[in-house]
Amino acid sequence: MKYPLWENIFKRPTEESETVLALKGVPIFEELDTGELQEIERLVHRRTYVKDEPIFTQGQPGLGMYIVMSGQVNIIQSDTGGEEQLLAELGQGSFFGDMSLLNDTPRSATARAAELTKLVAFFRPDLFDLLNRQPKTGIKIITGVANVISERLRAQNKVSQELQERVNVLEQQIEMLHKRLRSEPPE
Amino acid sequence: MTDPQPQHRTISIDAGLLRALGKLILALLGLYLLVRLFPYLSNVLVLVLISVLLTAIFGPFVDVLERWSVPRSLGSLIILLMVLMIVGLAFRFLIPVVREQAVSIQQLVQSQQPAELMAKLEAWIESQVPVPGDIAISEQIDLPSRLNSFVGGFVSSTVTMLLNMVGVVTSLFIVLVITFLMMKDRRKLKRGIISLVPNRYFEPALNLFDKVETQLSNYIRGQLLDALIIGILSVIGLWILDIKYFVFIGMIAGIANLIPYIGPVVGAIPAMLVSLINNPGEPVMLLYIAIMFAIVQLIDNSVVSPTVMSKSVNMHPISVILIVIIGGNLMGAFGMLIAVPAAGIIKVTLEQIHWAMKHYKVI
Repeated sequence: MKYPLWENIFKRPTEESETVLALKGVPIFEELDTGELQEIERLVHRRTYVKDEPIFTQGQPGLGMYIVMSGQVNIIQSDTGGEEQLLAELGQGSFFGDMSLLNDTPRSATARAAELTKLVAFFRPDLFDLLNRQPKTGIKIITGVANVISERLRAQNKVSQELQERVNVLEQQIEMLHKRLRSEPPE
Repeated sequence: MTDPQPQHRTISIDAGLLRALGKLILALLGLYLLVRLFPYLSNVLVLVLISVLLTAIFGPFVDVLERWSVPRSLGSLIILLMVLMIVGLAFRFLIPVVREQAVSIQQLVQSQQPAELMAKLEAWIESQVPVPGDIAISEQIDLPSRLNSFVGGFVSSTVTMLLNMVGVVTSLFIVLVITFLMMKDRRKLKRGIISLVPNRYFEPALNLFDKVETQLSNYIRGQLLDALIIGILSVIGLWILDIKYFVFIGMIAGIANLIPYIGPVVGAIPAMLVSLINNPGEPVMLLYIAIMFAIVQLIDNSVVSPTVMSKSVNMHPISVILIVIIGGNLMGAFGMLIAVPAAGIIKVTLEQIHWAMKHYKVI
C-alpha cells in the first residue's frame, strides 16, 4: 500500500495462512471452521529443529501434539537395554503426540528431527484454556482426539483379531500334529 | 623387551564440570547485578509486580467474559472499570469510617487515659518483678511514651497513607495500563517469552510456565480471599463484643492474616489495646477478645483455608519469622506484610522448577 497510514487495521486476513491450512489437514481439527482454526493459530507454537535434534524424549511427561510443516521426524522407541527401534518416519502434514492432549502420561517414544524440520506445536494447557473460554471449539477438538484414538484402537483391534485368528489356526494345527503323533505307532 | 613408554602427566578437566562452573559464575554475576541494580529498579519492579498480581487475580474474570463472546480487549477494559468502581465505592463509603476510627484511636492514645493505665500497669509489674536498684521500671522502659509513639506513629502513617492516595495517581495509572495490556495480551506475551526458549528446554519451560501460572494464580486469589473472609469475621466478632472502631481493627486483622503464625497475634493486639484503654476496669474483655480471635482462627484453619487456599505453600514457623524480618529490613512495614506471600510465590516457582528439571532429566 502506498500510504500505510490509511490501511484498515481492523481488516481480518482473508487468505488462509500456512498454519491454518496445515491444521485443516489434521483429522483432530476437521470439525473446526476457519474462524475457529484462526483461533487455534493464535495458540500454537512454531519451532524449527535441525537434523538429529530431539523434539521430545521417551519417558518425559507428555504435553501436547506436533504437526510437521516441512522436513521429516523419526519416531524411535528404546528398549530397556537402550537398543533403538525406528517406529515411523513422518513427513509433511503428519502429526504425532496427540495422546498427550488428554493427560501427562510419559511419552512412549522419542521424536527426533531427521532433517531440518519445521513444526507447529499445540499443547494441553492451551487446549484446556480454550475449553474454558470457548467450550464449543474445545469440545470439537476433544471429539477429534477421541475419534483419532478410537480409529487407532479399531485398527489395533483388527490387527489383534487377525493375530488371534492366526494363533487359533496354529493351535489347531499343533493339536492335529499332536494327535497324529500319538496315533501313529513308533517305527 | 621394549623400553617403557615415557609417561606424560596430563590434567583432564571434565567438560560437564566446566559448564557447571560457568553456569554458577553466570548465576552469581546475575545475582550480583540484581542486588546492585535493585535500588534503581525497585520502583519499576514493584509496579510490574503489582500489575502481575492484579492480572493473576482478575485475569480469570476476563476469561469468563471471553466465554460469553466478549473480545479480550473489551473484557479487560470492563473488568478494570468494575474494579475501579468497586474501589471507588469502598473509598466513598468505607474509607471515611476507617479514617474517622483511626483518628479517634490516635486521639484516645494521646489523651491522659493511657498514661494512667500505664502507671497502674507499671506499679503492678514493679510489685511482681524484682527490679535491681532504686530505678523505677517506668524510667527504664518508659512504656507510655513508647506506646504513644508506636500507636501514634502507626495510626498517623496509616492516615497519611490514606490521605496521600491522590499522590500515587501516576503510579496507579501506570499499573492500570500495564495490567490492561497484560490481561489483554496474556497469551501473546506467554508465547513471546516461550519463543525465546531453546528447543531443548521448550517443553519443560512451557510446562513450568503453565504450572507456575496456575499455582500462583490460585495462591494469590486464595490469600486475598482468606484475608477478606478473616477481616469480615473479625469485624463481626468485634462488633458483637462491642469493641469501638471494630471496622478499622477488623480490617487490620484481615490484612495481618497474610502473615501466618504472627498475623493473628498482630491482628488481636489493636483490639486488646482499645479495650484496655476504653474499659480499664474490665480485663475480662481481653479474654473475650482472645477467645473471639481464636474462634476466627479456628474457622479459618478448619473451613476457610482448606477451601480457598492452595495447600502447596506450607512454611515452617521459623522460616516465616525469618522471612518477615528480612521483608521488614528491605521494605519496612509493607515489606513485612508482603514478605510471606512473596516467599510463597518464590517457593511455588522453585518447587515447579525442581519438578520440571527432575521429570525432564535436566538434573
